[in-house]
Amino acid sequence: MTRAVLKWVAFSVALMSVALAGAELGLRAALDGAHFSPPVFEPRAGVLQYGLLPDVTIHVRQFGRTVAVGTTAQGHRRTAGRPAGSAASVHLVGDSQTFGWGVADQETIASRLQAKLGPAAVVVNHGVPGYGPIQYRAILDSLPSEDQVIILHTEENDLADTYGLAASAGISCRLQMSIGSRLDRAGCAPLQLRSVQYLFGQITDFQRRKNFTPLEFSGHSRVAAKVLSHRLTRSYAAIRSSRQGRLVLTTIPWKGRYAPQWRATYTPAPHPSADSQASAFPDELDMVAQFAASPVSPSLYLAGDSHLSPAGAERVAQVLASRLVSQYRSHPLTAMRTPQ
Amino acid sequence: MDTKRPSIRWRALRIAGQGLEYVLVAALLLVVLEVCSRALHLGQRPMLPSVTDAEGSSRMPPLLATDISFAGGPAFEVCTDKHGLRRKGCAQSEHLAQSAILTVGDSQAFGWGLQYDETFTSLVATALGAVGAGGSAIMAAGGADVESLLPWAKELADSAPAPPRKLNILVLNLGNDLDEMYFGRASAVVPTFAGLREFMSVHSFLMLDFTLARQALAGTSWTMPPGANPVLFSLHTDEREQLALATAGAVVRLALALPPAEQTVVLILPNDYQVAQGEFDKYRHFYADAAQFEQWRTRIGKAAEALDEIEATVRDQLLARGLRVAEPLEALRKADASVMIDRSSHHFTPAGQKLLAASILQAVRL
Repeated sequence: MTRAVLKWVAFSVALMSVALAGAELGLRAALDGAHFSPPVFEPRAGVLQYGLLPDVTIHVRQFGRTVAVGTTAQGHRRTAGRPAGSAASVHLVGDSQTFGWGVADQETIASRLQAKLGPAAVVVNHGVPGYGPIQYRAILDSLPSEDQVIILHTEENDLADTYGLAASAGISCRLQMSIGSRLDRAGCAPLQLRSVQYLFGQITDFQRRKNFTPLEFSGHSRVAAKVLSHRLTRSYAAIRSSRQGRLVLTTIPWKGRYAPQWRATYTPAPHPSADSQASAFPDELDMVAQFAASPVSPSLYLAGDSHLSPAGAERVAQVLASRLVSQYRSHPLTAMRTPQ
Repeated sequence: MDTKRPSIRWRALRIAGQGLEYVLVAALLLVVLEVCSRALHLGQRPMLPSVTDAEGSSRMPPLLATDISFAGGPAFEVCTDKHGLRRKGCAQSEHLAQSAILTVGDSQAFGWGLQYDETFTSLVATALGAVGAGGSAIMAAGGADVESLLPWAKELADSAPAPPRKLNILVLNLGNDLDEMYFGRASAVVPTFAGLREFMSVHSFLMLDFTLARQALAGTSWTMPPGANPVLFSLHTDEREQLALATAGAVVRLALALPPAEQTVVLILPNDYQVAQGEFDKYRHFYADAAQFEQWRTRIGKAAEALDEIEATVRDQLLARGLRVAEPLEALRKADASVMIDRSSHHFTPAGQKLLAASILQAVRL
């Protein structure tokens, strides 16, 4: 009896191993080396906690597409078409929306803005998935005061990140993970398997089948939203004067504003006037209205996700470019160069 | 001799049969444990069951008729109507009439550990002549706060049109409403199998014992320091001002969401150490680390001052919006806190309930 059980167990393990190996080989062949989640993160000290690995070029399979994700020697997401040796810099600071989660290097907000500004300025993408206003402020403090900085808040989760109680994400084995995740306990090698990445991606999708309504859009959290919004405004007011007028604050609107079906996936139920309420974030470029004016507002986001699609990134870049051009009477580069 | 091996079908049936056997034995064991639990507790639940609505907010289960005894203490009866409102008696015939007085809030409003007649709601109702069928009702649950009660309030208002009540009493509990409305929204967790757990907590004594056992095993591990209000030290002065203003706004929204009443009074309940700073000492046994307890104890004076400021701002805002406000703080400070407030929590004793009722009646008659 024992021998029979052992034989059965051994056979099952062997069968599962063969199946897993087959699945892994099949996935790798189908993905042509692409990953399901970009392994581009490294630990950092201080408030940032982590950042992007420098000089990385990989491909990632996300939302039905394989996209290229590259980073510069300074550990920023690569901006396509970036000119060499320009004097003026435009810094985009934000989270995964600014980073360009799910879109290719050339499709990010930074790359689309670079295409519009041409060689007049260098657009630097400081977006890192999982960052929030506390990290944005730390990055802002590190940038030269004469450089143009645009902070893009995300209505989806930046207000909750303003609590600053705990990081919303951590990293392990170069991958981004939810805080408290124990996926790396078996070591990094299993996490490099595409079959394991795929499996955990499916589990994560299942766990996230219900999203949490952003604080500012829930009738249950207006007290918290008001306090946190005030905290943000006060924080930027303190630094604005030192930025010589080169700080622009705007927001990436919540997808739920424009897609009632998407709003229904959130709990608790969003406030009835969620689609028209003012942003809890400074929105100097009136991005909420700009998105609302688009005849295809829902398609500015990836299907089944709240991140910007290539069309959404393009829209944001258009709005940013309009501001940068109209802010200065002549060429943006001329205005950005401080007269000696 | 027939040595034919059993067929696969026969083996599968045998395995299924064994599986069914295990399931039946487990079910029988659970039934036995349930019976033992009920016998052990003499039919008195060791915990108050609560449920959550579609928004994840706490409320009382409807049509509950049970006795509760916390940690073997004196038992108290809890009866709820079809809306989950606590009522004086358990006979459903008494619940048909709309209550003349409605109190809304959390465990403080509920009358934690008290018979219905001992609650300030009942005392106010008696004083105002709202007795008998209808009388008064309490829309409250442990862990609720001014914002989380909104869906329940709207449901009640939408349930059946009726003439305005005599009086709505909204309870703002400074003891924990501020922390719950601020920190309570910091992390959102989707409860797993919430429906099953809540069903079991309402219908099973064994489930309540299991929950208590888990809490006991957790020991002195907690996320919020017992008895303290960490929100007061996590916010800058101007952020506390915003908290007070936003809290007043939340109270107004709740007042507007409720079924209408001729009068609405907001009862602002102070935290226990706001009444007497020494009250914080009774939480010592919740802290495994003496230094940690001392760290919070040395801040109690400033915390009480901060709560006083928040209370004043909220009061002024509510008065400006036409609401009546009952503030029993000064009366409580003049009384003996050890008589007014429970020795193991910030809930009010029957003596404290009388003082609260007097405060409400004073606001009503103004």
